[in-house]
Amino acid sequence: MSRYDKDTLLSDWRQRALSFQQEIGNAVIGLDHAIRQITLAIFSRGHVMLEGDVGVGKTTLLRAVARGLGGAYERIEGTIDLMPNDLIYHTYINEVGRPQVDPGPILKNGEQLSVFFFNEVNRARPQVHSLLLRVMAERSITAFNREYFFPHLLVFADRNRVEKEETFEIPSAARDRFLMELHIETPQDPAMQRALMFDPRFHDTDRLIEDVQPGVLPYRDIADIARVIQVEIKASDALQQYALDLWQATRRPQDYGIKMDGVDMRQLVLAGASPRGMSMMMRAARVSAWLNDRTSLIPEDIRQVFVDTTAHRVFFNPVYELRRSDLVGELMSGILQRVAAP
Amino acid sequence: MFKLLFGLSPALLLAPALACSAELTPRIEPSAPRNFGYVMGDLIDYHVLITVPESYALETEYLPKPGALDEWLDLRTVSWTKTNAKDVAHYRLRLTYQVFKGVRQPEKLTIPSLPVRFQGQAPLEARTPPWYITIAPIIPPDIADEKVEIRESVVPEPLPILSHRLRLIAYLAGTLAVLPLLAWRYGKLPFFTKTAPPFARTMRDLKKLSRKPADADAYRTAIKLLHRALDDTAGFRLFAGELESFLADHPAFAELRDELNHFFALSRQVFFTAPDAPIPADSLFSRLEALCRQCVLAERRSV
Repeated sequence: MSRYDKDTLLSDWRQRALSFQQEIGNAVIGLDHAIRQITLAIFSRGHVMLEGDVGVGKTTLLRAVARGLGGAYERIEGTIDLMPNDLIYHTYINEVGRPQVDPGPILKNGEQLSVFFFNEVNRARPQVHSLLLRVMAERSITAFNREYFFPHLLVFADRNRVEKEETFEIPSAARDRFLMELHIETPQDPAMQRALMFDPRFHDTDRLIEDVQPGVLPYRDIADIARVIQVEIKASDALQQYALDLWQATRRPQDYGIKMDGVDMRQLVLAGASPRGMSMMMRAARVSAWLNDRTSLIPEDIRQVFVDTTAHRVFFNPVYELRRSDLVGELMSGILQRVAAP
Repeated sequence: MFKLLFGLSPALLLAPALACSAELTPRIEPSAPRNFGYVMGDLIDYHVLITVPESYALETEYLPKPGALDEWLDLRTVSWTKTNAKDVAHYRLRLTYQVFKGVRQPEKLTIPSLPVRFQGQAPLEARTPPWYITIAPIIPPDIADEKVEIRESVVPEPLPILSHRLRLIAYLAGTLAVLPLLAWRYGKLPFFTKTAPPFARTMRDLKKLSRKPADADAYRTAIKLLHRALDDTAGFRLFAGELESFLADHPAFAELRDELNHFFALSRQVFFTAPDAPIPADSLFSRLEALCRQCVLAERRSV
């Protein structure tokens, strides 16, 4: 592919990505940050964990995203009795009274599956997490004595953060496979809150989703363009050093002069971000540079994705893990405030 | 008797004429404090009041010039004042002599008369009368010359300087108190350089850097130094996106908005977007120094 072709390709796709964001933004208001980050995740080929209160628009957002991508969308609710097989097949007695086995939610659409939404993932058992881990990591599954592949699959999971009863915390290995962990909050803008309450447009989510132009981003081609983006966006030495410093700061925050009230910084971090996590962060940062019409990475690209791609990969000592939600945000903003570039 | 009268008659006849000529003769009234008790080195004031008709003016050119009159007498100063009275002018001459005559016995000396000329219808000259003074020896009479010892100089009387001294101490104490503060503000305190204000410190580092060869590395180091100074001023790592909130928190830097925006754009270009490109021609090292200097001023304004 010539230089000109590449530039045109990147530029065309950037326009599509921007219209995709706009389409989703029309359907889901007040979630601009989440929409932007999900766009980055789509082009980084990464899975996203959503965390947020009930009824803030997570499902609507994902349905809109699935429609914008144009592939098949499947969804499953995590429950304590959900078993891995429930994702793969579904057994029942059919209309003629004979047992029948049908493909489950994951297999039903075959390769067309573009968005798989696992709601309340922490209510499911570790066995299910384990299956999910493989689906996310390899985009494949073994069932009915053969391999099934899902080359375009993006997994979105939602973690209930309100109840702790009958939940199974997702193992760190599984969390590490999510590119991002996004916090979906109720919009703070009073005008938006008013619109969500009184504008009839937002009462009927099915109509809202129908308004989204289907297939703005053809999901089948994304893997290719994602590869081109990763190759074309350059990272200077100074930027690589900055990314490296950020990584080291997640492992040894005390070396970067980060201080937190009531926390012994030397004891805080049990395990910093993983190499896979950092590679994912850089993938998302490159996409951010591309979306901003640049061919080189700048620190702002990394800062744009740092918290969402890294916070869930840092594990605290048990004594601090209970206060995780308070401490992790402070640690992340501390790292961003203390690590210099250049 | 007749003979007597006859003898006097020329004098009587001349009397009116004499009176008339006396009007033209200046009246001279010397006045001196005393004519005794002088010793070698003394200053002698000699005042002469000369009264002339109003139409006459003193010829100052002819006044005696200060200087040595003879080997033992100097004229030190000559001054005069004029006051007008009815039809006449009074000139008061003030002459100061210094006598250098060394004597072993009291002696009578003559201060010579001096001519004083006036300008008028006809030139008019008056002479101060000679004046006699007595001068005394300064060596006791019973000591031979070779045994005379020079007296020690008189110890000068100490002037009351206590108030000056207190004032000096107060000024010095004030200066000493302010000096460390100023030195700190200007980043000149040798042992506390790390606590000096960020830009003052950076200015000094930039000066050191400018003495080294001006290559791309030095240029990059200079940009980094400025970044660190901005970081230290902000209290966190300052990135381009946070510049506006920084300027809102530090209004003293607000007038540098354009320069700082340019600096961030430059830094981005040099370090990230075009790291291998040559240094931009419009952003030489001197421009970085100028920015730092402006920041130092802003820093001083903000405290």
